[in-house]
Amino acid sequence: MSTNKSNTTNDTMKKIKDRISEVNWSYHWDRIKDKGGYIVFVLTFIFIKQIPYLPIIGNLIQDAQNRNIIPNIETLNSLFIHMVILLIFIVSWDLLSGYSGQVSFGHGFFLGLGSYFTVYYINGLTVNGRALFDGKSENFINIGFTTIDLNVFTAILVGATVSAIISILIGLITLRLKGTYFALITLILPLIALNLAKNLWEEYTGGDLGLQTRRLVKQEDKELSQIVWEEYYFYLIIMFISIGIMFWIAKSRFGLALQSIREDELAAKASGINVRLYKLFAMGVSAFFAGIAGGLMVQSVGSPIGVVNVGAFETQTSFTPVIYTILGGIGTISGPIMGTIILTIAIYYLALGLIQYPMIELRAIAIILILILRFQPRGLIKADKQLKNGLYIGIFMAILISFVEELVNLPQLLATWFDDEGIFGLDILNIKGRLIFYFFINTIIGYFAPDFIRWARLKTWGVWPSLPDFDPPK
Amino acid sequence: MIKMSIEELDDELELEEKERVISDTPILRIIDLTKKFGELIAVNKATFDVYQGEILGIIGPNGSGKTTLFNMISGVLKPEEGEILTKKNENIVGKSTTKIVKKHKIARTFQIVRPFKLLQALDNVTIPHIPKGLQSPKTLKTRSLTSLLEVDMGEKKNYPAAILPHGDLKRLDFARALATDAEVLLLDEPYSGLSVEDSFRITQLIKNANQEKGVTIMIVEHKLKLLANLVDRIVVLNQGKIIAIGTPEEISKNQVVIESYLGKEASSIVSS
Ligand SMILES: Nc1ncnc2c1ncn2[C@@H]1O[C@H](COP(=O)(O)OP(=O)(O)OP(=O)(O)O)[C@@H](O)[C@H]1O
Ligand SMILES: [Mg+2]
Repeated sequence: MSTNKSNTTNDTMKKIKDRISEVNWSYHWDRIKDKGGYIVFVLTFIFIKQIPYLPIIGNLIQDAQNRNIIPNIETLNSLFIHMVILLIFIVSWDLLSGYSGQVSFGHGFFLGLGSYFTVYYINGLTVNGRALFDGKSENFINIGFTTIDLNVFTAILVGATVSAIISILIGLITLRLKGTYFALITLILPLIALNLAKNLWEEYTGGDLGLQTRRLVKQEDKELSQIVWEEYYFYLIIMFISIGIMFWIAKSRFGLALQSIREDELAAKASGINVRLYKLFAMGVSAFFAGIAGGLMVQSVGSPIGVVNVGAFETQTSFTPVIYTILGGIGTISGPIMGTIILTIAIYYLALGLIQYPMIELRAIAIILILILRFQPRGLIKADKQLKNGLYIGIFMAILISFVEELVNLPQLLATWFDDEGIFGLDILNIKGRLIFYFFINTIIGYFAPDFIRWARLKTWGVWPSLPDFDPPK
Repeated sequence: MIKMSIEELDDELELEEKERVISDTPILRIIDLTKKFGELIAVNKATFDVYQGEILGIIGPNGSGKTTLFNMISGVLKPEEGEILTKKNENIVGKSTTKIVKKHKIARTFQIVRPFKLLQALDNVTIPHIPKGLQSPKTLKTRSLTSLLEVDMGEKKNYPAAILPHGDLKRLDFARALATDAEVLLLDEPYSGLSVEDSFRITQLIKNANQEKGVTIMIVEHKLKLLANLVDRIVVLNQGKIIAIGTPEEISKNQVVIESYLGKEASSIVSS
């Protein structure tokens, strides 16, 4: 009897163990799929230099580069450096405006503060002949893949801290202001700064020409093509840390408290949330990371020296995060990331494809923004599935067609159909112009095709042969 | 047999009701509280005590200053005159809403529900747990889930508040106020716009909070019938002035109250 009993217990134990060791793959797959966007984002940014040398995809990419469909490796580098710095800036705006609801139209002010104080810390600042603080000498350290100037790195942190402190001081004044009034104050800040920097304090800011300083990554001993990649990877690390911290804040209880203030300030107070403290916290953190972006911006001009000028205080800089975030999806972290990536790429293609009308890409962006606000106010990240599918089809088909267009003489055909003016200013003779053209046509087709197919099927042979994922009528 | 057991049950229920302890020490003393909006005197020298553990009803016609009274106690509005003393004899007039909730443990709900619309139901009740000092994410989640389960909303924890029906929002509001660990709860018209079933649930929640957690509760309400069986005392406001304080029965028989505005409704309380 006893052996029998122990046998049964053993059996049950084994069954339980089997159950436990059974991995629920579909569950894990769902989780990976949920985070798919982030994974692709991180991998692309890390391996962008190696992607053309990957097996299979690499050949395709190189082919595309040869056909000018995607930019060559140097352009990719400068594009990605630009994108990495912009990402920090734009996510920092979203943390303040999207999460805590204090919409700032003057975030360029904090960017500019970060830039200038970074430079002051490196170069030293002399006011009225008296040195407020001395410049810092070079202090190189090797951090594995590159050699950086530790003092420049400290300078970036100092600039960001100054930016945060000033933002908290401004926050103390504007604490009682709500919504529109807060936005108006922030709108004025960079304008005042611009005026002061250009006129009254020109000797300290360098005016339009700006100030020059050293770079973060050691410039000597190496070829430029290698240095730019070292710089890119160092900025990338800073970006991952910065966005990681902001992501953590947004997802943690602090982010929740900030959101509650955005949703209903009085109810948040009645729930015991210290609204003043959280608002100042949001301003400080946001300005800190905007300052970091500012410090890096000094380095991104593509020359061996760092340059800062009053450009950060221009209105355009302050509106950049507003536009990029609204396009991607306000009040999320993935929204501004997506918006930044899409718009940076879009501006690159539009600038080259609409070459007949210089600077028209900004107007094209404005039109896109109006359409988004009208039809997808929650941004692309939470857009309709139909629109998303349309965009995916548009991108995929545009690339596909640009690969095979030569076979059917499409460029020549298009050139004869449309005269030199092109279509809406699109340069049809240029591959970039044709890409945009293909993209638009295919997005429209991709958007309406499912509806059309459903309609045609119902008109011709009813619901037969099948009813795959039936959508209830709207 | 069956009849017996029902009677026994009745007895037990009554016993439970009798077990409530209402102490003689006031948890809140309101003295000469006055609020003016320009010419209009919304609350005029209101003076009354709230005793620890009691359920106090506040009634009055529209615009008689009930919400204004709550706004002053919870620190949303600052009175022109008067004092609000807590148990420890501290005057809370002029203190911020946050401080009144966190330090003095007086929480409130709103006449028109104010949920955090884009946040999920669970996050809505997580907010009041956040400012309670250091706690691990796990504790925070347990606490907020408990708060949500207390009001029977467990299955809707992931719904954004914007899509919840009115009855759920009322309970969510209640849960949010209770989650602050309040000792005094100000409920502004908790029954407004609720079905019979939802009203019953709210009554149960109020009784539960009062009996099991010992929360002192002040209720502003129009439906006198609901109050009559629930509250210990009633304060009657008319045009900002307190015209009577007493048990529901006393109030329903009070000639001043009947004459000034109750009319027929008062007699319905007596008959019920
Ligand atoms: N913020 C304000 N500014 C000006 N007047 C106000 C304000 N709040 C309330 N009042 C006025 O004060 C008076 C009392 O208002 P209160 O909201 O306290 O009444 P109530 O008893 O809650 O009424 P109800 O039963 O309709 O909720 C009303 O006449 C109202 O118009
Ligand atoms: Mg009211």
